[in-house]
Amino acid sequence: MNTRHNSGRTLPTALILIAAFAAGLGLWLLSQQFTNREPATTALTRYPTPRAIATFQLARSDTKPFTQADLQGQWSLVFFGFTNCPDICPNTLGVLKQVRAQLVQSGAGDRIRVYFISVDPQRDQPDTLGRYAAYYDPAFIAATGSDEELTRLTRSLGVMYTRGPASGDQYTVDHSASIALVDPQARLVGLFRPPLEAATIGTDLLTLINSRQ
Amino acid sequence: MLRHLLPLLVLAVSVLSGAAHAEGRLVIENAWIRAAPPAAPMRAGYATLRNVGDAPLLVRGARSDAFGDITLHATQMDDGIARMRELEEIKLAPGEQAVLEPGGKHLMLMRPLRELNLAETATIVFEIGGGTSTATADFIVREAAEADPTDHH
Repeated sequence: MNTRHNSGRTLPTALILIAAFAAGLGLWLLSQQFTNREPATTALTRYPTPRAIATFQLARSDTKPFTQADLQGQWSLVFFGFTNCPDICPNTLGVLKQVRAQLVQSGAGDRIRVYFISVDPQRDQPDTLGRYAAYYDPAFIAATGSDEELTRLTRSLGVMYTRGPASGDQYTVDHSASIALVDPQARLVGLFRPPLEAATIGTDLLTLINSRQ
Repeated sequence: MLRHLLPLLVLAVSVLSGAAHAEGRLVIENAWIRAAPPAAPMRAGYATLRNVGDAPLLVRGARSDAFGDITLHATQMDDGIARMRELEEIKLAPGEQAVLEPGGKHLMLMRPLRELNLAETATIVFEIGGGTSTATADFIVREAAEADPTDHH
């Protein structure tokens, strides 16, 4: 009677042990999977979870519309600036040129688009803006739009801009120097913040692109 | 290597010479303008400004026949936001230098009056003190600061 009782207890204990082991293994596998899904990046300041982007409507320099739907299907780097910005903007566009060259060299050129968005629509006419961006890389897409639409997009991408005081027809635009990274599901993944280093940004992008084949 | 090249980049320095009294003397080294798209309405100029004289000097402004207007500016980064602010002047004590470089102090070269392509130069005249003395340098158009490996493909 006692013996039977004991053997009756041994089985549940073994089951509990097996279940605990299985649960542990499951957790470990999950954590491995999680690690694989979020590979290590060094230059990117990443949001804990990707953030949805608000709808917006801008106009590209070739007059085609640029909307939230265009961000679907490939990675996007989005930088805000203006052509009357002689210091920071050429520097950043030069970095983006190198980043794209690195991706093209690695065969990932078609996995990412680079956007230069002017936050100075009054002075940046589409034609000028397009030629300005194309100087760095003909594949760069330049766009701008109304302050209302620009604000929707900048807010959504965790960046900002504001017009400085004007003296005559001269004014400057203060703007975030960060580059926003958007994933192929059109969600904000994070920001590349200055100081910007082309090589580490390129490596981060290749890591992310290759993790989501 | 770079140090040996710098004097070669000093193309011209002229100062009102009083000889008798102490005075500041401005030397301009490593002067360059960032290559920019032809559509760019504004350019940035960079250089090292050094006072090799024995009195303080004030750099008040600059002019060039290649640009409609030139102002002294500084880019300030406040919490990731780039702000450009005009500088009234740059004050240099004897022996002191100011480095005009990307992301920091720079010359804002407004309204280009002619095309300035890679390797071309523009002569820029700095106004010192009350505007009675000047220092001149030729700024060369480059992709990036010297010794940057990204300069070439």
